[in-house]
Amino acid sequence: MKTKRSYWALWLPTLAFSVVIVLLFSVLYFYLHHNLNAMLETHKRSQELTKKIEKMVSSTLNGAFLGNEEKFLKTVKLSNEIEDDIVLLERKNAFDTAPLSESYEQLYKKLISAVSYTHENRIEDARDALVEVETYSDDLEKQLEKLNAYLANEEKDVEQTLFAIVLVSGLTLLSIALLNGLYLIPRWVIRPLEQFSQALQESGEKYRIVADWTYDWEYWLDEDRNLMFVSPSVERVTGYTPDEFSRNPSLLSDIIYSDDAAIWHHHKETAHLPNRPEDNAEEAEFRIVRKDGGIVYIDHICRPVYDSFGKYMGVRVANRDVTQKMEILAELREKNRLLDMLATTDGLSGLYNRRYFDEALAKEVERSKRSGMILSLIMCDIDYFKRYNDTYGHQKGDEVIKSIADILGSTFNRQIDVVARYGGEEFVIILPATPPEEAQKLAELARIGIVKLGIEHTDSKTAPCVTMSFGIASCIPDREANGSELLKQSDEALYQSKERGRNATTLIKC
Amino acid sequence: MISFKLVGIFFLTIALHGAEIDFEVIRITGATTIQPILEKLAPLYTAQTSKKLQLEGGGSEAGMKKIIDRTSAIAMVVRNLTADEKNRFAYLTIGYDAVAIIYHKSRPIRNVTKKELIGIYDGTIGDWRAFGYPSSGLIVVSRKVDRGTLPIFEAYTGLKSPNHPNLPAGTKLIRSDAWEAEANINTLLWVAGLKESIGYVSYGEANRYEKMGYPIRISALDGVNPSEATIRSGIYPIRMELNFVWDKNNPKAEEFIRWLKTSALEETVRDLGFVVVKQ
Repeated sequence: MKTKRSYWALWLPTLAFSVVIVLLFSVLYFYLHHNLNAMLETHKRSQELTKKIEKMVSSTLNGAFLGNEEKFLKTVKLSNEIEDDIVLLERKNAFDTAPLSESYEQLYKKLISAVSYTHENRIEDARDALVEVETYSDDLEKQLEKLNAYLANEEKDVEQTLFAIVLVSGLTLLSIALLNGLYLIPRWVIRPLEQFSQALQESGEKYRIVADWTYDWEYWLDEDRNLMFVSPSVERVTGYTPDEFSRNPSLLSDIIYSDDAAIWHHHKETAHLPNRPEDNAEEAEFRIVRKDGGIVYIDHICRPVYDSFGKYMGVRVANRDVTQKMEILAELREKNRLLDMLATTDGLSGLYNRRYFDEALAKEVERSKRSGMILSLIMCDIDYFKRYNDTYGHQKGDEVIKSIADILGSTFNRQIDVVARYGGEEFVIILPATPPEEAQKLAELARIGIVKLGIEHTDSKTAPCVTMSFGIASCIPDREANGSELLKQSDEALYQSKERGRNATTLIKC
Repeated sequence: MISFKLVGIFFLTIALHGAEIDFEVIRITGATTIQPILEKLAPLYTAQTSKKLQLEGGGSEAGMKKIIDRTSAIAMVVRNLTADEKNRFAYLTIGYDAVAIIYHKSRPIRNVTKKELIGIYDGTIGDWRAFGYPSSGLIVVSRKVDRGTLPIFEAYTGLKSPNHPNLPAGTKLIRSDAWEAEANINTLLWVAGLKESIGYVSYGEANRYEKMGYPIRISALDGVNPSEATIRSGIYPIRMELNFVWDKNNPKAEEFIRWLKTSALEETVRDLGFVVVKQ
């Protein structure tokens, strides 16, 4: 804005001045040119005047010779023309035409006198008059010569003035044009370049701000994988300065956490090879070792970049520090695991709880239905456990439950086996793909194992130690023989063991 | 410029010499105003009588002198004859002429008053500007002293030519730089050829030249245009007789006058722009 104002402040008066100069010179030129034309016209007339006078005199004498009055009409008309020409010469020039006019009038006077004398046959008088005509014509001739010389001189002056005007105005306009050019070339040529350069710089600055102030560690590799740019945020993420990255092209590979080196190398070798640039972004997750030794999780995204003409310009990379996210995630996973465990595990025994058992049974029944494999279910409880609690206290009772749980867990130790605490002192064991005899055998091992624990139980009617009764039911589930039926049968088998005096195993095949 | 003059003089000299070769002639001298009338009739006269007329200008008074000294048979006199002259000479009044005031056709005026006319001729009015014309200068054309028209003009204006001998003191004079014309043609060509000029001339001659296309204007004088009616009736102020005057004892002259009376005189007089007097 400032530039514009100063431009017009300087050039408006200059422009106005040049316009005025041009107008003035033009007016002057055309005025003088017009004058010159008038002069040339006058000069022509003046030159023609001599001829006209010659013609008039000869025509008059011819008329006089013929004695024809009508011949003199030509004389009169020529004389009028000559008079008009002289008047015109007088008007157009500073030249004093009075003597010219006077000479002409005298010439005409004497010429007509001669005619008149001739008309009256007065030869001598006519001859005398003609001698006088000669005198005046000499005089007139001199006057006209003088006039012609004057006119030629005037013309020369005007021509010189015209030339000077053309020269001066031309030089003035040329210098104005030059000055204008000297001013305008910087304004119209250099300034736009400066503005362009400034715009470019501003644009660069803008992009630099955009690039430098990115939170993520960003960098750009050219088509030959040379590092073209790395954002200052790299220092925040890695502890290394951008300069260190610039100086050492393999620094990134060097700081990859050793466990993730394979991931990195695989990514590096496969992603966006220069000879087959792909548009889609590719990702990798790995860890790096910070300069201070800390581990940082990096979420790496890279994609090829192209200029506005579609030329491949290398790879643009964003490395996001996701360490905090990963830590939270790990914590979350652990919590989930615990929650999961709490939801399916009995807190006292460490075995699965009743809820888990119900779901597991339903699943195993379905599985057996599909596969046709036999499914065995063992239901067991601690003999006279209420009395034990009453005798030894609940704390001791809880210890018994824990001990029994250990025996059951170690006895039914297949991956697929499910050992759960069904109620207070009741336990259930799902044994998929286990024949009834095998199940009973395992149950028997467990019963003996418990006896062997030798936990004192003085108030038991069965034995001096803690014992357990087992009910085993086995079947291939179908429409009738489902989970609840199996539970019912195993409960029946347990009942029979109790009936038989406890510390026993009973098998029911259904 | 010199060449045309020598050639001109050469031809003119031959022409003038040629004119002098004559045998049986009747010499008639005087007012050039009347001369054209006789010029028209002369060929017929020569054809009928085998005699030639030698016509000479010089003015009315010159004509009168020549019949007295018998160098000329007949005088052409354009003025009213005195009673003495009428007794002494035989005469024939063929018509009237008037003095017409003429100026160039480019002048803006149509009428001149007597006062203006006197002003122009005594030099009081020295410029066409007085008539609203931008051009300066005024060429006043008068007549030579022995010319018949001058005394008529002098009588009308009360001015006298400064070239009269023995003029009484206190006489109002025509301006001394006035051009003095010899003949009517002189006045007519001067006035027609030079736009600044003003002159007075025979009405008949002016009429004739105007009809030929000469750029002259015949002015009204004191509001009266010269015409056959105004001249015959005498309303136009300056009128003069056209007379032939001769010696009563000159049979040559008598014989010519007799022939003249039988000729187409009246028509010729009228044709030349004069006012006819019935014979």
